[in-house]
Amino acid sequence: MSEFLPIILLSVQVAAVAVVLDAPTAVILGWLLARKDFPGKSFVNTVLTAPLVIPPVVTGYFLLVFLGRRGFAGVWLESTLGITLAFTWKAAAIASAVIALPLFVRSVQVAIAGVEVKFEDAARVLRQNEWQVFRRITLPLAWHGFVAGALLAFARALGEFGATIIFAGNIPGATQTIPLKIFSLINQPGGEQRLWPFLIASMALAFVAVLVSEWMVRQKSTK
Amino acid sequence: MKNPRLSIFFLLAFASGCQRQPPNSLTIFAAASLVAPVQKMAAQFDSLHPGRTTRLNFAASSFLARQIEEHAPADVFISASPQWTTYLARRGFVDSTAIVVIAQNLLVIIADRQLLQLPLQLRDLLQEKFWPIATGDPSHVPLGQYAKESLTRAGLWETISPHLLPALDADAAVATVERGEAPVGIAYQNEAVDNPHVQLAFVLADSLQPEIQYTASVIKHSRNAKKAQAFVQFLSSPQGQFTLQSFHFLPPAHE
Repeated sequence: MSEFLPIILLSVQVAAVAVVLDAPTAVILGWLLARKDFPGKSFVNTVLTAPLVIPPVVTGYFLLVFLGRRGFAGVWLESTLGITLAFTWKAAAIASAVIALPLFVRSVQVAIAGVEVKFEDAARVLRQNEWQVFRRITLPLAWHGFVAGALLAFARALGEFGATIIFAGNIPGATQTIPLKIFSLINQPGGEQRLWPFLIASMALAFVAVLVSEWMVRQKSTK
Repeated sequence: MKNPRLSIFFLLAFASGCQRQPPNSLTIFAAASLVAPVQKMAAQFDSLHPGRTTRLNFAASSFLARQIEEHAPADVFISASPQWTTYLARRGFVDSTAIVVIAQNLLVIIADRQLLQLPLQLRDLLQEKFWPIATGDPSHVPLGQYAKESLTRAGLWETISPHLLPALDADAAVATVERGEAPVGIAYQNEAVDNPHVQLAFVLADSLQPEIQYTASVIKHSRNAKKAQAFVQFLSSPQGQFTLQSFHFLPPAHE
């Protein structure tokens, strides 16, 4: 059991950081996609959905090629800031963030689209600037969708496997999150006895996150 | 299903997916460090026995043992460690009296092609500039287990193990060094010699070399047990041995 808790905590840490990394992008993109028309909007839409359908190993490989020790950005990060990302828990968080981003953006987008424009216009008539409109009207009416999106992204990040194993590896104590531990135990002869706590934990965490997310969405619609 | 044509389509798609492997084919499950020689030996074997096709599945021996335990359709299992063959024998998947040692290997330290200063002995791996150290996952991948054995014998396991970068199999460990994600790695000799993508830093001293034996065995649930047996014999034949040694494996010790 001594191996159980550190892995759960690491997974929660990785997923939480992924959600924090995603949040600004999700809110800005979600708002833009819901409220603005701009050239290349359908392109942004496509690129945004891509991580949802591209095989995660492919995403992981591109992350490694881009941010690895020999990658364009990876070389720069290491030489100027002294940061190495690949095969650290930070890499696991980045991989999860990229994979989970579409879910987060879509939830925010749907929530904002659900806010009637006439309320926002009313605020504009009262000489509120765009930021005030967002903060005083849109955000209070859509925040359930934001939280639901964050929870969905959190749940997806907890389950991330394909991109993580490529970009962050499967290092016990560093990057071995619940799904990677499960993978190792399944492939390890005699590992099955230790499998159940992790299977139950992963299902429980995902279930709770989605349940609360659903509840959040319903809260809003019954208002 | 409302559309009969559609249901026929799905039925056919399902049926074609269920198609059994061709009766003459042989499926070899082999350790990841054996990719090149086993591909070559399978081709040689096919040419000696026309009409036969061999299918190959490479992964860490521990993964393969698990797959066979789940009744994966393997005919022959070539393991990088007798441990996983014995594991299957204990569970009745291979005949423990028919396990053949086909080759031996050595542990070496490999280094990134761009590394200017190479480690010269195992103790040098204590230096931070050589971290992380790529090797197989010591909890089950044979390469990692051998590396653990050597490091333990050198009294370095406790200090070095936190700096290991465990890979899924022996090939993946080498790939990690090739890609520059780890400056050095503990690998098999056969994967370091003649590999232009890495440098061979040094071969571990004799006193630190674990006994690395590759074992071949026929899987009991094989549908082609006779042909599987012929393949295992081919591995030990002069031609098979010549091929293995041309890929820098060592011959099995004569007892």
